Amino acid sequence: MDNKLSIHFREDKKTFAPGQAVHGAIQWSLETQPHSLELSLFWYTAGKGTRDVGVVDTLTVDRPGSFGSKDFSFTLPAGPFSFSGRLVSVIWALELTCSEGKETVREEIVVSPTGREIVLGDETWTEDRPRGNPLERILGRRS
Amino acid sequence: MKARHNPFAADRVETIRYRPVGATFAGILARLERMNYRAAIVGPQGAGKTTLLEDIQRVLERRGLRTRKVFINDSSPLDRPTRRQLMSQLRSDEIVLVDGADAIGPAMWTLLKHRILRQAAGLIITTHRPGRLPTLIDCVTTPGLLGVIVTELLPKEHDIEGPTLDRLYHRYQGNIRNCLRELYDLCASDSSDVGSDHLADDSLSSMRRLRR
Amino acid sequence: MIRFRRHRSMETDNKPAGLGGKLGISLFFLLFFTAGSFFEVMIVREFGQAVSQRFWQKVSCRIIHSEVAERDDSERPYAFAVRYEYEFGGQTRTATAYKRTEKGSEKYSDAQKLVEKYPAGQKASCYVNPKSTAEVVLRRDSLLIGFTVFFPLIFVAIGAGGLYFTWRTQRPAEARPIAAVAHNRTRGKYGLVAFFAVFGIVGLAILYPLGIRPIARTLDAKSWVEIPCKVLRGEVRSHDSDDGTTYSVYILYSYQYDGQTYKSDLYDFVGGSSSGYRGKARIVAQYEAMMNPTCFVNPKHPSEAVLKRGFHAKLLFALFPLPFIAVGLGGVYYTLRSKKWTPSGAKAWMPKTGRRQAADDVSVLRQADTGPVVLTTKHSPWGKLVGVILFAVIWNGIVSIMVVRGIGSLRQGHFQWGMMLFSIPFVLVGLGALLGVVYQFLAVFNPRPTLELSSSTIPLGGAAELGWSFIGRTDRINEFTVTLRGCEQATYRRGTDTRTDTHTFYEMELYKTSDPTNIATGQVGLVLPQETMHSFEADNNKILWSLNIRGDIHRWPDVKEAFPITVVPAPVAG
Repeated sequence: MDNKLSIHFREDKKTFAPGQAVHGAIQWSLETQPHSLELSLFWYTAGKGTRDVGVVDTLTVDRPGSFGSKDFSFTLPAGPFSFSGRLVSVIWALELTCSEGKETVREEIVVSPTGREIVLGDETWTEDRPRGNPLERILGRRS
Repeated sequence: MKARHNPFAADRVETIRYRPVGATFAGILARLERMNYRAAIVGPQGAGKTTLLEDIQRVLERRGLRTRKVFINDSSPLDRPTRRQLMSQLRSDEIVLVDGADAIGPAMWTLLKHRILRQAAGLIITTHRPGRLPTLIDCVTTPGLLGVIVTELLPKEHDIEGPTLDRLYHRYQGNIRNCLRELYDLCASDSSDVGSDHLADDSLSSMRRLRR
Repeated sequence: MIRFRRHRSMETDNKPAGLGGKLGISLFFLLFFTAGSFFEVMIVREFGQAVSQRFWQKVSCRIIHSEVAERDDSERPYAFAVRYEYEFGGQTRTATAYKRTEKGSEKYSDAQKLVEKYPAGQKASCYVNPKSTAEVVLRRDSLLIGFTVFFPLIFVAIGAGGLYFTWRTQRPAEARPIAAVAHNRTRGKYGLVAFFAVFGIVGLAILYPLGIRPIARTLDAKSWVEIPCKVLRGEVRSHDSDDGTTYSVYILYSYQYDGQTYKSDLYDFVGGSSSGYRGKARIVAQYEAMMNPTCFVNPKHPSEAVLKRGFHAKLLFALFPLPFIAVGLGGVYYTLRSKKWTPSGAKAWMPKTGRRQAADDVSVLRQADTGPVVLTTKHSPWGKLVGVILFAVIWNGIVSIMVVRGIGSLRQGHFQWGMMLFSIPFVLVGLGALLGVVYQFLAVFNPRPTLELSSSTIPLGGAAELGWSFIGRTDRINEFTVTLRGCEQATYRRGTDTRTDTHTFYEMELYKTSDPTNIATGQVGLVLPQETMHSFEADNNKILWSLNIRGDIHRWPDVKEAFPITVVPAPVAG
């Protein structure tokens, strides 16, 4: 029998706005009975710099038995958003691990107010500003 | 290109294991055993010393040996609390791995070495210059090694010409780490949107046209 | 779905590996545990006895006799000899105990102080043990020993903890998936805080006797009266300890003040002992040779006198506790503040200002405008000048050694080409550093901007107003520009160095003018883009927003300042 861990999202929803709740269920089917299972909601960085990790919430299932399932619900914080720039990306994920055994499973999600990962481009805006009341300036848009 | 998809992102580079030049990994381990786990991995910057140390640690732990790793560099110095913690937790069945032993001053090194060798099961260090412990291996790099690593990191459908990598290798004087960081920048600065998930062709052109 | 395989990196240890080692280590920790427990028991016992004295009956008494008695004990030759009378259980009784355990005093003046506090004929209070009425004291034991109750527990904890961790069954170490790495970060934080706190407490504890008290008395002694005195006894006392023998000056002298004769043995206000016998012997001989040396008497308390007043080298001991206090308080402060120890989670990525303003994540979502704020730069011009001076001094100090040697060898006729060629790049850097000092020095005299932003945090898509004013001659600025900039910053730590890369992903010129009136003071509105990234600060990766001002000055260092700002996620509607 193969060890199997899985994470499922309610209505298959994997894109969330900050502050929203993430609902779903975990399932496991293992050859041996672990002491516990741990589901973590976290973000991590990828890119040119050394990885940073921020664990936001954890759900622990003690003495889960060799197979079973359990619902989970996490509330996402205000940030950081899922984003990718040239040097840094922040990626959100849920990761399920067991205290014994070799397997771990990870599912990425997107946390963003726009419904998709924020992508940082190279935006340089300069403009000739007319003299006058600076408070009335409205910023221009890239053509 | 997004940072997370850059084939030369830090976390991807760190999955590359050490490739000995003119030796085998099994041979290195056998030599380490004969040296009673008291040895130095010597080499210039970006030659793979840290990578080799990590690979050795993995193998030692798989063999049932306990290890403790200390990482030292300019932003992670061996400060007093770390030193005290290390000294107070030394175990006779533990091999201490010190990555960046150059950053320890001579007087402190003498004291640490004496204590660790007396109380622990072994001491393996990385250092730029030989002399602090018997040399296990002198890490060297070659343009061919850079080629192998780049091939492993790049998506299968892409390739980079040998002379291009040679130029890159010689510009950084064999520092593989800096070569890979330059390749990161080249992938990242492709003329298409950062939002593209794949390696744009013109990015490869940039890499091929590395300045002489 | 991504599936990962973890590698089990160590087999379960069923064999008793390193038993001899474990026993050796256990012995070490057992010593800690035993010593700590022993002292803990002693301190708790003493404290218990001091507490029990609080239940003794307070009774009025009268001092019959009070004097300083000399004893044969060479270490504590002076004792406070007292007899007092009290009524208890319908009977008149007498007692002689000052405290439960009174060991005498090394100094005459210490015993004399007690005689003055309890002179013959005076009424006082004494304390009778109701369970054993023969036990009577004038003064109960201090409860301050209670503060030291916790100190030996540190050793007990080290011993017990060490024994536990030595013998407990170890679970095999496993290669960890991403999330589990971050859980272990905060373990060491409070241990480190406790470690630094001990430093700080020790420093503060010794600051009063070593620093504050002697200096205060030295200052007070300026008004003391000069009186001739007579040396009764002079000697160099030795004090043996584990570190060796130290010596102190001891001179007992008598003097007359207001028709009364007093005795004192206070030499100076610092006291203590140190190595070096000869210097002290010289001092003692000097005083013994004098017919009537001068002492200084406190007119408010004539029994208080000193031979040496005024500031002298020994008062520098007052500085001794300062490094302990600095290390202790500084260590506690920076450990608690350090992001390294911050539990990973919702707030670990927020820049400091954002974290202070928002008590929790929900309030970040609800509010963003938190009132106007004056922006500050990361480094002041003076700070930059000091930094560049330090670098130039250290660098050129080292380089000058090479240069001087080279010139010396040239004078002696054997010029070392190799060394001089080698030192050229270092000399060039040194010259560059000197130019940098000049540049930065000139920049100090530049007009200094003050920026005020209408809110300390700005939400994405939100607006704010920036106002500026200058102190200094703004007429020298030819062109003034204000730019909003967003940068990614990635730090890679591996090998022997740390490399940080920065990339600007957003740059918006907000304002540009050559009009002197608008340069001197002005305002501009700014609107942050909606679909971009807010401020983010983790250990190695950051998104940094800043307002950058630049004032071009002809033939002079430009005004260039960057003011970090905090951009927060947009508030939730409603």
